[in-house]
Amino acid sequence: MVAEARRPPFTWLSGRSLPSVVPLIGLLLVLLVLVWLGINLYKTPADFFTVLLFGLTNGAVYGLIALGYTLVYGILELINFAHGDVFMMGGMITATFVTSVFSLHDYPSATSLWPAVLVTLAVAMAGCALLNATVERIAYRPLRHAPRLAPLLTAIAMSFIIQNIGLAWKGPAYVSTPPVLSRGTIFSLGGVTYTWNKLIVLLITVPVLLGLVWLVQRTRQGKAMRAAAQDRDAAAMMGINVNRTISFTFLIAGALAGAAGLLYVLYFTNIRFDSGFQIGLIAFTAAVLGGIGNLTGAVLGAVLIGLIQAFNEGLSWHAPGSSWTQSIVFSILILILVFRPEGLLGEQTPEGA
Amino acid sequence: MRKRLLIGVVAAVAGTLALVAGSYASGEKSARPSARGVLPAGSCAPVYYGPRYGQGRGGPKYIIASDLPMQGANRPQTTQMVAAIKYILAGRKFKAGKYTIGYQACDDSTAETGKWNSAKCTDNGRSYADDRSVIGVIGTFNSGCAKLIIPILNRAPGGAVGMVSPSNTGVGLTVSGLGANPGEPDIYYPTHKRNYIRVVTRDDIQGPAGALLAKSLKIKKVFILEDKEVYGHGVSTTFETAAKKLGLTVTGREAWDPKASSYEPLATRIKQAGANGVYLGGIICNNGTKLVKDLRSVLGTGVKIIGPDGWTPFSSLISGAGSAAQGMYVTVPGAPPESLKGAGAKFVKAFKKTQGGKSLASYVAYAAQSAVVLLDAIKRSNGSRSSVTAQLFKTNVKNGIVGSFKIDKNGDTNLAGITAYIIKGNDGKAIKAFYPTKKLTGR
Repeated sequence: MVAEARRPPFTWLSGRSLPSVVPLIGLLLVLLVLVWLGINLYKTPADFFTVLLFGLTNGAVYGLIALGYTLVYGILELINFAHGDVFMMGGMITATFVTSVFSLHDYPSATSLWPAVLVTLAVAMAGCALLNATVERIAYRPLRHAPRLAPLLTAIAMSFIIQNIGLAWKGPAYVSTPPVLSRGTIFSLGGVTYTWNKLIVLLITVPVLLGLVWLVQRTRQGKAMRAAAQDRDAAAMMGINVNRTISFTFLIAGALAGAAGLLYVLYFTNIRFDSGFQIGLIAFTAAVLGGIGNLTGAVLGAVLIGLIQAFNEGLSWHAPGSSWTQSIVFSILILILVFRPEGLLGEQTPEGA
Repeated sequence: MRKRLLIGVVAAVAGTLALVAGSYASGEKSARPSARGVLPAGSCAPVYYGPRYGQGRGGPKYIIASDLPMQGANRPQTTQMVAAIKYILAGRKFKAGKYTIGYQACDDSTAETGKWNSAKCTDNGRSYADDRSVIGVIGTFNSGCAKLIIPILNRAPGGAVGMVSPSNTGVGLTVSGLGANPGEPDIYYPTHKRNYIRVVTRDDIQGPAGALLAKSLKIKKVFILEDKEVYGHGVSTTFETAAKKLGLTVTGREAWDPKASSYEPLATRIKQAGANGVYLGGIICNNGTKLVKDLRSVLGTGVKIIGPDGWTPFSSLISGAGSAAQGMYVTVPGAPPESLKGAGAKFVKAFKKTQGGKSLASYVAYAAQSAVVLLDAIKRSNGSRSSVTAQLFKTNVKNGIVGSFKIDKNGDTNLAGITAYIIKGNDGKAIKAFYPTKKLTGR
């Protein structure tokens, strides 16, 4: 299937790839965007960097969710559409713990904040890991040998079921939490300030990415994941418990979604039962942009999407503005799927991550 | 086999959970199966009528319905509005002249959106039109929803069904001109006969009142954000025109996306434009509290934030935006419940007791007034839909709950005051009433 996805586009037109006009147009578009960014940087440097930092942080949060999509795709070649909703449940667990269990108020002291965050993180990660593994057990495993449309449909069905559970639990309104991460300034340079809450997001995302790469590349379990991704039957013949390996992958992806949910609620301070669907789509776009199946690509794609959103909404010189953000993000999804389906860094399954 | 059975059981449990959630989403939880109303139970609460409460005998001759969003951020307000309508109806012993009247509270929102939903509005409109026992409708709450229901009720079989809105401020529902879209309001009245009145004033008054408030707050440069809905777009336009007339500089106008994760980049753009005031033309349900939080975090407390009545109820604004809501200004058409005189003060005092002493949301008195206006029109009518509709346009209230007022041929009230509130502590405090001049409203 991987080889099929790598087939050059438009071969059905003439039996050959389209002439080299397409990359040229792509290059021209990228150049235009760079010129536009350059002019904005020249005109309002402080705002440019402020917006860049917003985009980077938002992208890092998307990245954690995109990792879950890409990890599952890498091993099963299945888009787990319920992943965004598992992330939402992580956010809801966090909101419950922040407001009801620990009753945190605006900017609590470090001694009351961090133990609460760690406990919440553990609960959110464990809860979402179990939920994701359960989804796999119920909706995907029985369909392991069914046509590919079947697990795709059950994935969408699971997505709606989890959304409705979120709705029954928390109701239709946005669940709002007080801002608990410090907005204290780390540095302020020429009108650009960098605050602790943004750094905390990066301090969580980067180690998670490194840890994941280490897990997949260096551990015995990672080796089993790579083997199962490469050829499930051969892996089974070599004594690898394929089902257990897949369950493990879903556990890890779920835990990532839990961590992302926690980070999202702590940083953005609100979430709704359908947030997972929208943000899940954005994260999925990020994963496709970076090259689905590719761990580093997922984070890179997410950061790029975060930056595109922020630049579009935050820059003042001829930016299309927030009305166009969704159109731009999903146009990128279409363009990437049509012209470069392997993504920026190339599609990879965990064997080469 | 056992494994399959286990999977089946788990799947069944998940399915049941989904169904439970679905039924939560589909309507009021308090619906009693034994008291099903004539309107669809999916959207409407059972008939509220005397016999169940020890008054009257048999079923009511006519039904009045209210069409309000009962889910989402507006719920605290609309729940009080329904209670106010019930209070008025029970006070009149479920009668309007010689006719017995029952009441059904219908919901035009869905759990998925947490606010009014166009499909739900249209479905509700059809139900009211098709059910001949429905003699009049109180609603809608949102102008966008009114646009869908008015034309359906306008050509209802058996004559146009009259509507009384307690809170629609969208300009184009009743008049053309600034703040209305091309073709409005005629497109809503296919029979060329009007069937819609409202007891609050329009946004061509509210927008300019917001501009007067901005000027009084010494805002020189203002940035306008709108939510792209009918109401948000209209009120932003009338605000912008009046602000320019008052000499304020409009440094930009942008839309905010309700589904965005963050508005901090947008706030940076506002900061860059050098605005010392932001006008938020839209409704709180469109992720409004997150917007306020992000604006405050980037712009600080020095930049003043003003919103129209779409930012009510204050309780949702304060609980959702937390400390960021403090110091925000909100304009609301009409007088605050506490400042009502005469019949209004009497109503507020008595009704508050039924609500456990809780403070009343901005539109509660207007919902009660709407009920009074509709019941009086039914009383004066010959019992037909068109007669009730005709009587609505003859409304002339003296010392009513919201004061003395008349309804003109367009269906508008001549009460034109707009109250400005500031959010302080756990509620909004009324600070000043504004009466924009004709020069400012352009009418």
